[in-house]
Amino acid sequence: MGVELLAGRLLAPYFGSSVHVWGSVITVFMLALSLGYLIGGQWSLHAPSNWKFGIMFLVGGLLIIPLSTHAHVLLEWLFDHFEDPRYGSLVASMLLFFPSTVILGMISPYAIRLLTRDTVSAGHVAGRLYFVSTFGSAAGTILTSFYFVLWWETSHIIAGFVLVLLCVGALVALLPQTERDGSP
Amino acid sequence: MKAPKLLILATLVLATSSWSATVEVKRSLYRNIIIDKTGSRICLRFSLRRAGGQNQSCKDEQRPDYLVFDYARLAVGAIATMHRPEKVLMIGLGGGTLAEAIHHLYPQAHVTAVEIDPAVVDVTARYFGVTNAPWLSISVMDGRVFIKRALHQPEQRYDVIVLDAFNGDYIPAHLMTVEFLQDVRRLLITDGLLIANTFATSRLYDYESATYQQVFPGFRTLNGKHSGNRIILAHKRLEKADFERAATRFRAAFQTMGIDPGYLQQTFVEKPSWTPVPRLLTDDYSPVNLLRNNR
Repeated sequence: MGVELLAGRLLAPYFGSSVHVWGSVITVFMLALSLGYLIGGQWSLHAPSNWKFGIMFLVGGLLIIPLSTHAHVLLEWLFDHFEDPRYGSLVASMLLFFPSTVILGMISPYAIRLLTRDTVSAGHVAGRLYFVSTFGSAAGTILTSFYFVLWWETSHIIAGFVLVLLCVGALVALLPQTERDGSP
Repeated sequence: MKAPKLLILATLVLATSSWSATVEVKRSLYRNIIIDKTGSRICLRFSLRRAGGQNQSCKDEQRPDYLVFDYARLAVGAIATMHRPEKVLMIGLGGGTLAEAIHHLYPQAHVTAVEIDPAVVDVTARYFGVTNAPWLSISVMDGRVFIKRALHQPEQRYDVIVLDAFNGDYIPAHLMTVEFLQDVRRLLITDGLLIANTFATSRLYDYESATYQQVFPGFRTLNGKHSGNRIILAHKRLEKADFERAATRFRAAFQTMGIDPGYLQQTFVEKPSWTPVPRLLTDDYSPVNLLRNNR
């Protein structure tokens, strides 16, 4: 959610801040998340492990890095090739935010698989996970929009998100590898 | 002692509000647009919960050339200092009153108005009679996008650029950054004039001033005394005497528009001052709506 909020800032110099631009950003994030859920669920069927789980955070984080370093080159190019800001912003969002958001979307279903011991507790686990993830989204949204943008530059905030993802990823990947029939 | 005064006030308020009628509420992508009519005065405002919202643009049907708002009189007074502008760009159309006033002063000039909200363009045409004409082209687009596109066409340069896209409620942050202002400067001819309707209060004033100073060093301002508006004027050289010359040249027009030359000169500030800020507003750092709430 933090990245989603900043996405508007990244696109505004090129495509403005009309409702269409926000529409593009939100559409792409939703699309990416839905695809991520699907793939994450599929993946969880094949020998799930903490290690692979950690890799998701790492890859997700790494894919965000270009946003703070190379986004402007791409946006400049798209600006020259798309007359209509609606499609310009849609394509820009696709290229910039889709890959990382798909990967980050995979995390939830995969985590459910890792945490579930039996079918009885599945709902309980999923409920807690949704709670954590959506609560985290809310926190990311309010912190970013109320404070972070006042304290730091957009590129620094993005770098901060990347750092957090990389740390979490490394931490999870290095957790003791238990047999993947049980729980960590 | 106070009660009778209050009573009179209440009666007055009731009386004036009873004359005022909402003619149309137009739904837009961004906010509702309300058209009110009070006597011969027709006003466009955006719906805000507090105090009935702020009027964006008003026109007196009996005196169509009269500029109802202080900021409009200041801005037009500033434009009048230009010798013979041929091309004028306005970011923000509102009710089109500024565009019409420019046309009134300089009938030969071509005005391009960029407005993000198609609904504003629609009501402006229907209630204020301002619509595409040989002298006026209206583009429905985000101002930043328009300017960026215009820079790709080397022959497209403007003598005057007016930034009037801030509605007092929510500020488009991307229209207040160093990068944007640099683009604006590149789109102006060397002797061109930039006019920006900006904020006189809150912490944003300091940030905005420092940011303008970076791109337009030595800018001047017109600080409205009847309103919280501050008009930024950026031009190679602009002095009090220019306003005197404008007043002589446009004596009749100033009178019908309600521009008082003396007042114009009173509000002129040659060296505006502000409290230093830790950093400038850039595309990477632009928390303008948060700064706006910092007193």
